[in-house]
Amino acid sequence: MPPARALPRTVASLVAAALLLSGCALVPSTDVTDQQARDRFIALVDAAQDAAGGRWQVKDDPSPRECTIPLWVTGARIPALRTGPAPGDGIEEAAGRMQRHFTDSGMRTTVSEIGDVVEVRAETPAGELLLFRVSETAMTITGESECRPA
Amino acid sequence: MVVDAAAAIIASLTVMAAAGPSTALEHPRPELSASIVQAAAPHALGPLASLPEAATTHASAPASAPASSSAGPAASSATPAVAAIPDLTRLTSTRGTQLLRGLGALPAAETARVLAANPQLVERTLARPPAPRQVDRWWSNLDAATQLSLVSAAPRLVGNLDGVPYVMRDMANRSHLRSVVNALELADPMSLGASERLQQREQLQMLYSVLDALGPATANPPRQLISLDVEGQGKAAIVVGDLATADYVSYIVPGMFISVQQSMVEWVDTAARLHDEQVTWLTLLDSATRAPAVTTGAPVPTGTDDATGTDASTPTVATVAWIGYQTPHLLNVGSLDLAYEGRDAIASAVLGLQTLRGDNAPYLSLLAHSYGSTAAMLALTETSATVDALAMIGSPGAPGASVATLNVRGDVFVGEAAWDPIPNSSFFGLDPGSSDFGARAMNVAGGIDVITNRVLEGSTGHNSYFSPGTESMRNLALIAIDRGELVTDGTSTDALRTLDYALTY
Repeated sequence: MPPARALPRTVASLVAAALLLSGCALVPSTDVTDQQARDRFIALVDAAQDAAGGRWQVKDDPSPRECTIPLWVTGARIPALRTGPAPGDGIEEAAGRMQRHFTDSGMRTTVSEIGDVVEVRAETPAGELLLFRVSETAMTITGESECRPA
Repeated sequence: MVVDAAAAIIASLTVMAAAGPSTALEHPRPELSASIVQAAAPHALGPLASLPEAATTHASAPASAPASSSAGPAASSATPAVAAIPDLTRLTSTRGTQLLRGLGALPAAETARVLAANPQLVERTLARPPAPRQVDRWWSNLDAATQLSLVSAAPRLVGNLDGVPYVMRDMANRSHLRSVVNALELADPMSLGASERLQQREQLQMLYSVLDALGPATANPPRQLISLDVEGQGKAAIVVGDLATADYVSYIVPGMFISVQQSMVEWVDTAARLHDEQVTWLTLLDSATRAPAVTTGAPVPTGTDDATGTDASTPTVATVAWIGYQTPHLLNVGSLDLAYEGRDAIASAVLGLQTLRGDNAPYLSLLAHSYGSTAAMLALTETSATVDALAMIGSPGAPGASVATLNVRGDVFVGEAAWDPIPNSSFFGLDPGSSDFGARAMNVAGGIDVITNRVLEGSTGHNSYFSPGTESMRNLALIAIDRGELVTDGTSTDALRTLDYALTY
């Protein structure tokens, strides 16, 4: 291959490798204020709690976490951690109810069932991530808000 | 980040092209720190007996230590502090516990003055610190007022001594951090040369990183700054959780390119994510301690505890973002010198925790990355430090021949990602992921989570083991909470690792 043609390919490969190695996200942040983005994420988590039912413990850490947005601009995400009671109506029912809730809210979901734990993973177009897990003894919700410039 | 990734690749190639382990291990081994050697054989305070001992304003019955302080059995048998204001000339020539004892006998203002006039005293003590057991004994015999005076007068010293309760170290280090930042911010740049200005700017940026990593005052769980070195590349350790009470403690040990200025925030974020992952799994797997179930199938109004609400019966977790030694860069990664520094620092941290916790020891794990795994293995083979579990990812080689040489009570796990050239370099000895070494494999390639059936992201290359949502992170969290039986190893056996299996194992 002539050097002139090989160079762009090499550069592209290096950029791709760098992206892969750095874990750089390619989802741009939405056009809202930081506070609005935060409120929107917390509202999603609260709504998930309501959908699950029961009394929950809020263990959210208000400390932002670092992330990377194109192109290697440092960003921040807000985490959430909630722990709840055992599901009253069984694992499958709790997971199904949560999946419907996420889907009705416009989120893309993935449901996994093996053993006694079911996980419903939900992502919004903005990049918010929620993870609902349910076992016979407990339910948990974790997640992180979209990555926004810090 | 990209620069780091590229540098890691270059370093990897450099490592692979360089001489093998026999060359690397020919480097002379530095003498073990006295504190670590002494920790293996507890003894009396020795030289302290030579200090004059007469009643002074500080002499009193042993203090009722702060809540997080655990005096341990050693303290209970120690001689109560009876100290005089020592001769200053003589004091400045002392070292170790003798110096500590002397400083504790001084009025606070005098302590601050002596240390300001003799900065080498702190340097010398921290370079070869007394054993944590001795520090604990000394500290526990000070009255509360003297302890607080020392925090105020000697924050750099108190903040970095393993064996001092973490709440006090946090207080001292935060105080020291604030004062150094203030001094740097108020310094007149015109009075400095160009190189000094640059150095000062770099130092300030490093300290800002520590401040950022500590997060807001409302951080949940609270964070503690349990060590801080503001000089040079700096060192720092931040705890997510409470080391004084946590049931599970894991130290995250860094490797090449992890510096306070560039990586402290990222390292604490990793600790926070590991904390959350551990809490989640403890909650899901802890069958005996959960709240009553929701009573009906339909959703019921949600109750929400406040942010500090915790279930007292649920096990607790502390993760330590530990940058406690100077990590290597491209030009010195081929030497074990810094690994020996890491060895001593890791051992001192482990012994300090175990001393303070006494009979209430937590389940302790080291989660070590890259060059940090070699430092961790050195600590667990050449010192008296012991842990419950060790997980190593991207390791450049083991100084010992097998897991049998490591002071690990439980299992040793090794993870090696695709396209990570470091593990196969065996630069510092046998690849701990090889079958000859005898460690358990920890899968990091991704795949299906057999417990949750979650589609896990895989780790690729040398620097993605701690990426959120990866199988590597999940396995590290399970190792840290003593659920090693659920760690996936990439074999067909993984299919058996269901929750039923976990609860009946």
